Amino acid sequence: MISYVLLGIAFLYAVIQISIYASRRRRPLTRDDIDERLLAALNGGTPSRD
Amino acid sequence: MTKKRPVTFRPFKAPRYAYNKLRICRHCGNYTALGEERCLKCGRAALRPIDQQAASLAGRKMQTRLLLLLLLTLAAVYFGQSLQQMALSGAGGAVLIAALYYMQRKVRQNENLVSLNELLGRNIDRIREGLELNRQEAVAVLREDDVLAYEKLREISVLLRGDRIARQRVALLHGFQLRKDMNLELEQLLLRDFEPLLAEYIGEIARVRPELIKDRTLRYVKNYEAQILEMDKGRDILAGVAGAAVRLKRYVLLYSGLIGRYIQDLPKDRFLRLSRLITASPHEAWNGLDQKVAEVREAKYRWDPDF
Repeated sequence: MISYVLLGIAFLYAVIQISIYASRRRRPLTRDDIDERLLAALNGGTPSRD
Repeated sequence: MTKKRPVTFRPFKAPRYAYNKLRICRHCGNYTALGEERCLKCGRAALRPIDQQAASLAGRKMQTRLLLLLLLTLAAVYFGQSLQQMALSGAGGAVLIAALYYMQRKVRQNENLVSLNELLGRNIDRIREGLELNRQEAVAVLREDDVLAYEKLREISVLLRGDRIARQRVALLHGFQLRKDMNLELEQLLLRDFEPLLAEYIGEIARVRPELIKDRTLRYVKNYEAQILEMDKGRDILAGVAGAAVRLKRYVLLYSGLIGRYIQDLPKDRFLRLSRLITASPHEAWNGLDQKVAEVREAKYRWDPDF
């Protein structure tokens, strides 16, 4: 019985992880987003000078 | 007046993404934007590009998840009461591990970016601290080597784009003799308020690298035209900028007022360019600039065969 419970936990864990990956994959981050956020955080949200 | 020195800058190319400039010390966790071999804080040669660090963290996270699944599978096998239960648990666990591993391989690139985003978000204060340390380092070398200080500030300015660094860079550039072959910048140095050294620098750029005079610079000059006019050689600066603006028809249309006010001071080649631009598009809204050009042409270049 314990064996099946543990397998069930493993199953749930795998499903949760896979769905997290899948949801992140549906809305992927881009390098431009990351760059923009970093520059805004460092420069107090001022627009870039480029 | 300070004497300007001829200097040579090391080649510099701003990375496509500003975060590519950041490196983290694997020993003390300090961040740096400078190209030094050793960490400024702990002195160890343990600096690593930030994206590599993020990829390594993402990989470790994925491995931990797989390991946890493996442990659960092993525990399920261990607690199996019959051979059938053990085999079923083992096979079930193996399928789950394989499915997770397959998914992880498919999303690896995106997970690296997620990890990078988290790493930067979590450590923003440390990054600020590291960049401030970099700035202090640049200021510390200023007395012995102002070119090196400028180069360091140039690297930091990829990430820190406030007026503070730009002002320091402009002040340093003021002491250098500018040449056409130099790796110069302008738009990145524009400040929010008026700064005579910056106006002087713009005037020099208009002379040596007019192609660097773009929209933002023209707007800056237009905003602070009165203050620039009050400066020594302020009129020369404005005429230089007006001459640089004649490069593109769009600028001539947008800044016709500014160009018109300094049309008398334009050198012949710039005036010729402006005159040809207007002649090529007589139906554009030149905002009276065409009239002024005609008047100057009549007064100064009436007998010139180039016109």
